[in-house]
Amino acid sequence: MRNIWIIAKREFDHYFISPIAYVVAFLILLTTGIIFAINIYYFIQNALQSFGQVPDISPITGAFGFLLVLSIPAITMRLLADEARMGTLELLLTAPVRDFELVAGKWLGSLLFILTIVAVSLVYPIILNGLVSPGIDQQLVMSSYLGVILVAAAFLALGVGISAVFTNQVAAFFVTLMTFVFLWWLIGFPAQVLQGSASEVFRYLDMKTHFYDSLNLGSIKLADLVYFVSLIALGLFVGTTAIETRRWR
Amino acid sequence: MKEMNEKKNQSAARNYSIVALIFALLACIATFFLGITRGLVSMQVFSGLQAADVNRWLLVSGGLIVLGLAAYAIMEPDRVRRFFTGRQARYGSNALVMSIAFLGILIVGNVLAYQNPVPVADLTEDKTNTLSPELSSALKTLPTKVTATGFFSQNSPTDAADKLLNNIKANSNGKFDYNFVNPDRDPQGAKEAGITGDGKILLQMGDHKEIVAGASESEILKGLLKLLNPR
Repeated sequence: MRNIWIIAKREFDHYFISPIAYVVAFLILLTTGIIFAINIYYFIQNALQSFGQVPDISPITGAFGFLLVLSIPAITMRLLADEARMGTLELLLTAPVRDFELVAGKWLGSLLFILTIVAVSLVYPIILNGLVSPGIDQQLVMSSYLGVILVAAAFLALGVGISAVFTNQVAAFFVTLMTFVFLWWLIGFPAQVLQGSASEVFRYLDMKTHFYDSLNLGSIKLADLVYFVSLIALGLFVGTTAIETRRWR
Repeated sequence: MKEMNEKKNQSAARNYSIVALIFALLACIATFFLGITRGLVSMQVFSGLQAADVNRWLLVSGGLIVLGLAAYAIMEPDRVRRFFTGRQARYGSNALVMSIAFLGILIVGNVLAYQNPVPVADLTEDKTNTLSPELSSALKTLPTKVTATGFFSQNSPTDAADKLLNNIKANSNGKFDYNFVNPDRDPQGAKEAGITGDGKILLQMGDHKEIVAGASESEILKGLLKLLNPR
């Protein structure tokens, strides 16, 4: 556990000297800020016709979830692929660190970075709570943010796993992006076409359903939690196995 | 002389063994495309092909893969033995077994979670995600997909309706979907659907249609019950 923490801390510090991380953080916060401002403007314009509807945070967290699809490949692409390219992975493999600890440390470091962006974005619900009387539904905010964190954790784990397979950052970026696009959009399409249990299987595998139809609406289901934890476990397992195979390949 | 003959035989066997391997590879590619075709047939994209025919061809191509690999193993027993007893094979098989076991655990865990679709918690203050028991049981009994079309003009905000319909969709196991139409922009569509006022919802299940007066749980429940029990 100590090793995981040391690697995570090193990785987290490393993000703050990387321009990509600042660009990703800026783009996420700028886009969610614009959506937040439009949302507020819309509610002010339609205040008389909204029939008691109060604004909530779900449009902002919904956009945040979508932005993670596009931004996380840029965060995870270099994590292990760069170590392999630079030849520092061999040094790490000879250190008294288990393969899993290395992968989990990298994942935790990137998760801490995303959590920092998430923490900054908490300014939106705080402002919204000040604008709305008697305040917004705070439990819904908790559920929506839990959804964003789970989506980020699952994407980061998959990204770290894919980064461990490649030695080229660009290849890792595109494969990670394609995997996310597949999980977020493409896998849901057969559910619209197929009938019966096959349709249900594809619907279950569709990641955005677990986020937009449950957590972002304030409903936490066992299936959603198991789905996200499974993706995190799968990503870390792929990463650990990929590092392990480097020892005997 | 005898040694030379043996060497000649070995070289000929090596040439044929490559042919067997290529044969297995081609069969493998054919199996891949047949698998895709089988998927498209089950999606009813191809209407001219029968699923049973594609299944038969899949069996044949699978058999050809086995045949090609078996021929290679007969012609190159030493290489095959080395492949299966080498260091990479030993570690590789270990990793393969671990991966299969891990995936098995993940699949079982997800199947168990899917079969228990009980919400852990509805965190909204006014419990907006908790549908009435009557509406929940009506959704469970839907035989096919129901599509709701909300006819809302620009004067009627869709927020409340969108929230309710999205909640119903989330609790329907994929058997309920919805969209919105602005009757001012598509008056023909509204007329064809028989919509005469603003804020009405058209429920459609196969050929059966039902118009609901507004976006409330009780109204949608009434509409669904009428769809389930047509006169």
